[in-house]
Amino acid sequence: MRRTTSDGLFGAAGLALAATVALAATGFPERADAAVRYLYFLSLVLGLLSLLLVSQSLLRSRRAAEKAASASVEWIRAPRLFLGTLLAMLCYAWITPHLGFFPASFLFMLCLGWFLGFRKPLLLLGGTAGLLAFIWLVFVRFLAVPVPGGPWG
Amino acid sequence: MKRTFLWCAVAAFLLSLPFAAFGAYPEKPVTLIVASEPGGGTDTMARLFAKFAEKYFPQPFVIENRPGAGGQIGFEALARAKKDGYTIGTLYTPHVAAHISAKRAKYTLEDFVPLFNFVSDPGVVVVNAASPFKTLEDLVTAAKDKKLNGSTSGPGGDDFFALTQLNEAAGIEIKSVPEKGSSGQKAAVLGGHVDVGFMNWSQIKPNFQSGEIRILGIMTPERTAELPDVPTCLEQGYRVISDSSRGFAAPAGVSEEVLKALDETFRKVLDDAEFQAAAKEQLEMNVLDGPAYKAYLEELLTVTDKAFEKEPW
Amino acid sequence: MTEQLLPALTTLLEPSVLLAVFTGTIGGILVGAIPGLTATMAVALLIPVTFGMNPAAGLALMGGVYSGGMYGGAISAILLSTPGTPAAAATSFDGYPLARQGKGGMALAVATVASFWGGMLSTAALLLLAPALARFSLRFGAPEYFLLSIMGLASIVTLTKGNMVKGLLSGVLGLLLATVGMDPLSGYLRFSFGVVELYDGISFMPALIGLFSVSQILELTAESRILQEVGADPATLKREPLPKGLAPTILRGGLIGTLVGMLPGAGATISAFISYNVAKQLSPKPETFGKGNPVGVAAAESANNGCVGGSLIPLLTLGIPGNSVAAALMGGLLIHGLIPGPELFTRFGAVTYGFILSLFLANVLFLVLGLTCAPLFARVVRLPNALLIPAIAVLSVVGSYAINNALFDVWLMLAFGATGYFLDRAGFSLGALVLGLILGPIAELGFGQSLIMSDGSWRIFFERPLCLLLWLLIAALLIPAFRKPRRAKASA
Repeated sequence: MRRTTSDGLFGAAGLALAATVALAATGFPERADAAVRYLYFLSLVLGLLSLLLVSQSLLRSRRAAEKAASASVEWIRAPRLFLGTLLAMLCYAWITPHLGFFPASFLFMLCLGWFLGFRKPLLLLGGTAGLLAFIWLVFVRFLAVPVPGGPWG
Repeated sequence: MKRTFLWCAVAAFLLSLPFAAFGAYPEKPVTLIVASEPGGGTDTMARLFAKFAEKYFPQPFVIENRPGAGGQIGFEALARAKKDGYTIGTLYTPHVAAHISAKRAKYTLEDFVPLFNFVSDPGVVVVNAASPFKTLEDLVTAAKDKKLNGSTSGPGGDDFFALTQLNEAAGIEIKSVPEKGSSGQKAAVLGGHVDVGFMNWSQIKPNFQSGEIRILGIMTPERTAELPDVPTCLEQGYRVISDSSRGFAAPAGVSEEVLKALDETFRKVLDDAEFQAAAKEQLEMNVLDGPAYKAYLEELLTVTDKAFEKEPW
Repeated sequence: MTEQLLPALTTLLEPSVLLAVFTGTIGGILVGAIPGLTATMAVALLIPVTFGMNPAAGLALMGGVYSGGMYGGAISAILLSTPGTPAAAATSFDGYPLARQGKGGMALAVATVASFWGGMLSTAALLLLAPALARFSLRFGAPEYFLLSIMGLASIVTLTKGNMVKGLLSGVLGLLLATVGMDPLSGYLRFSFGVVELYDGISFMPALIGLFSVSQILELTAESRILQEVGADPATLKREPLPKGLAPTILRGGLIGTLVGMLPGAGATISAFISYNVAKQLSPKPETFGKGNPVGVAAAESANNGCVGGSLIPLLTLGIPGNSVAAALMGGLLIHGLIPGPELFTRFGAVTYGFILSLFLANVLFLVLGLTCAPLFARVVRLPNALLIPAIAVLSVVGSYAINNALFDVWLMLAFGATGYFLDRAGFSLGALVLGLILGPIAELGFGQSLIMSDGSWRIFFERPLCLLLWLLIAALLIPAFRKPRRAKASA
């Protein structure tokens, strides 16, 4: 995607957000009038800046078209690893309350480490166990700060 | 050093391995939900209790801070907790009632079994020592002539209720300047940025003792033993009664056996001389047992209900 | 005072007190370096524990945790772009690029030295000038807080690399996100959609971990190591000399930290941003900031450790804690019957001055520890990302959970992480967004309070002498920023 296109899209999203916020603020009760004014102000600034970004991108896109794709946004550099990591983290967050923090983390670290290409099982196992033991010592043992619970801790 | 540290850790761990015990409550540690951040007044109260309960209760009380939304998150967590006696929690007023009045709470007072109230911190009307106001009367007279500002802890809190009560009792309109937390209020009063502050006694105790501020009135029905020379608002002719209290509760539905064990523990801790010494300087102790605490909360709810109808937050 | 110092010194040199400082500082560094564990938590935990100890040792323990915790945040901020404490967010702007260039050891050493001097300076201010400074801090009212937040927001301009419109947009987005939750003036719930976890607004720490740390590990999936210079020699990792010419920056940072730290509600995070901004504006080469300039690290770290002494000034003299750690410390004072106020410096002088002196000692201790261990810690960036990414993810999850014990915050963190990644790729400034998120509530509350106090008149922001001074400072911070881009464009 060209940077100018991306800027244009983000500008448009900004405009939409500004409009939504301003519209939502009209529904506030009268006692919150100070908050309403503040939100109007913020959405105005957001709207103006977004407009500026959109116009910038329109103006520049003509010029940039000649300069070829020199200014393009590279959204994701390594799609497989990026999406895999993101997915793994979402699964991790989802499964943590079901399994408990320590089992979930153990699974997560082993799987993601392997997926990202770490091929020394013993080291991976050792590193995972080490980090989790450290977290257990500091959080649970010394500070008694709860970690996400579950049937097996 | 590192190694010694490690050995100590290992030793501490081995020592703390629970001895096998079956049957009678409590078999495992009891979670104590604190509905505020670590380091605050409620947190300190809970941690002190947990420390001294070690002597009288076979299992530790483990503090779990669930701050946020003026205590609502913690209160809801307590109301929804398992009713097996292994979770109890803190309540504080007026917030626990105010959330119900504001129809935001997903709990009612019936969801709790009040165990013990520990602290009640009376409200006070304070001014900077350099202020021209010497009595509540001075303040009210001045407020009739010009616009005055009063520092409060924000809408839905006890300070705000107190200000509303005074405005109503005296027929004046002091405006509320909300702060986040008592340190901001204190700074506003000491710096002379507001005309008057609506606060709690424990929050300004050091400043009162060093003569930096003056108390125009205390919001208790009668003068307190600690401040015999400070007149109440009531005796000056204005019905302003407010405090903020902190105590413990269990979720409704726990068994009688559990309640009895907890009640006993609370009584023993409260009788402990060392606990009393530790609580002396920072907790304004005012002990109410379960039934009295329950009655207190129910009465409070009618007050906050009325306040919300008049001026919602 | 002088007659109090000698007994205080004897108190300090008792073995139990020395041990307390030692344990406290080390524990503090650990707690500070782990995201989600805060010095406030640790101090709160210690309150009942210290009850049985002698007051001097108990306070020294808590003071050590406070000093060490403020410093410890820098370690993870520099090496992993995961600020252990919010106050270290500004440290990562230059610290992390340095780590990627293989100069992590040097960046850590700079952070250590800067933290040390910042801490020493502010503790000296606490020791010598506490009453006068406390009186000064009281002159800050609502209008001044509002202007202070504007001054912080002015840093958006400096945090922006490249397109200024995008930088400003990021800041405004942050301010807008900060309006989620209860309106401080009326109590009305805005944009919280019935989610009780949002009633108090978006929890800051999870957002910060998401924006800085998670977006960073997503970025790292495309690389095999944090270290970018493949050939970087491990030997140079070990001993890189400290850059010269940091002294003025550190001095300024310490001062800014002390002054901002004294103000309740402002705090270490803001002072670090302001100090970073000032350092960049005064630098002959502002364009090197954000790309690994050690001056940026020094500015941020000296300011956040400067807050330690600063926040204790109003606490000890007036009983007004400058931030949440100081508030927890107040509990520690009260439990020993030490009531803040003048008596603390006379009747209880030995304990109070002993406590202040122990802070000096804590600073020396983390200096020694930090400088010895910096090269060791710095090796972490040489680990393969396949190991680091899962580890940072686990720490991010447990850290964002621990702040409020809420799973909601974990999801919040992940959402901020993914969004932050794409915003960063599109050229928006995550630093500016974070700044808006921190300063939004202060700005809004200060603004609203001021207008209540003045009955709606805007003149209140221009009539008070301190306000005028702050306006001048804001202008001084903004003018060079608008001049430079033009020059840069002209040369391009």
